[in-house]
Amino acid sequence: MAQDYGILITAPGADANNPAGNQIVMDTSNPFIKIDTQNPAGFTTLLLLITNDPTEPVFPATDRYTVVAQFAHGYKYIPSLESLFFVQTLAPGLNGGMQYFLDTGFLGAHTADDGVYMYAVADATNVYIIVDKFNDQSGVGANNPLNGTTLQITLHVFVEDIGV
Amino acid sequence: MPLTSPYQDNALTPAPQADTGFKVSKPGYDVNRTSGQNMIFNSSWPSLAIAYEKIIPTPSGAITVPHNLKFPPFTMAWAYNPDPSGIGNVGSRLFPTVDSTNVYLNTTAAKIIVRCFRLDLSRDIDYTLAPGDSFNGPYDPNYGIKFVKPNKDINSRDLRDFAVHSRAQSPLILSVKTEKTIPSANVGTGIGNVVQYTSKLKYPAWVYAYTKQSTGKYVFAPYYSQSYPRLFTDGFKAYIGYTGTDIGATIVILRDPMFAAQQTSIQY
Repeated sequence: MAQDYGILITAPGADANNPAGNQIVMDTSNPFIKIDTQNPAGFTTLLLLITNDPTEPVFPATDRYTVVAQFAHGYKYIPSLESLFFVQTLAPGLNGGMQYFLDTGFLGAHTADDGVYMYAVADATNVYIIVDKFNDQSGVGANNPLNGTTLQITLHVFVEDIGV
Repeated sequence: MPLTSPYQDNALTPAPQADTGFKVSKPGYDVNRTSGQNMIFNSSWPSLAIAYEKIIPTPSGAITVPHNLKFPPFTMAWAYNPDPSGIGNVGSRLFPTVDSTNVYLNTTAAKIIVRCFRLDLSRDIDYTLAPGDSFNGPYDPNYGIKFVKPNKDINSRDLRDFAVHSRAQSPLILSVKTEKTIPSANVGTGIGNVVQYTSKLKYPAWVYAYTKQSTGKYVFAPYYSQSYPRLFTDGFKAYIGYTGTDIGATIVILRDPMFAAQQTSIQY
């Protein structure tokens, strides 16, 4: 909310008394979304090596989820999270995947009826890296082993909660 | 292998410079010598300030949320829902479509928080690179600067209570590139008109991209998506093509490194 006190800084050349919204560099009425520099979990890069293949779904279930990594973020509420995945090495046979993705992405598939996703989420204690293997129809799709897959996963755990 | 591209970079739009300003470095870093990524705040370039925030309870289907900022803001939202893995209720991020007036959502969740940042997706700008690195000293909790939010305690230990706190860093903007500075060589290529940026940073940085519809709406472009729109990037070079009825694209480049200097090895 607007205040009668605080600090307002505009871009060079912009009038601080009546700035356009996109000319404001800093306004203490508008908090920054921020990362605690003293929280080691605030900015983390994981180097994940998968040697134990996550379980495949068993028909009639189409999806099987596996938590492949988790760590405590240090807060007692659900923080706002963003994540960036870089696939360094992908297990052989997986096709059509993304080399880089934000938050959730497709690692690849063997056929049009199967595949693997990976994503990151947070609850009130931990950050989780989760693999989602799916197979649309029993006997039609193929398994997608992930043994040997390596990824760099960077996570920004912001101080700000998600409103719950 | 670095990302290669047959396209040219957009023209530069240098931000106005000034000899006066205000800057705060991360704890332990020399404010006069440290690199840009070690700044908490620098008035020479913006951080991600939250210009508009709204919590939407039990959203379902298509929803329009007016932000009325008069510019299309870089926007993130987090949805609160049970995760299908069974671990419980979690927050997961999404990038909604935006224009100069509204945020457009189309998702179902127990709750969604929308945050529009004070970053104009329609405006090209290139902020200055900062000088090189310097030493890192220990954190001193008795030294720094902080601005508390209205009705919050200045002595609070909860960083959520502060608009600015020199212990907490916000993502830092390096550049914004749009269709307005496309070189002629990037017009009418095989993937449409191409917005491209090559970073001068010594490390790969976070990048986000959007395509712009004829209605003025900005639609988020995921990295290497299998379908349009999509952004190609390795953190050094980034490019996006827009085609069909779309009239533009925007790339937002941060100073924040893609990867931490020290990485944690995990084996599953």
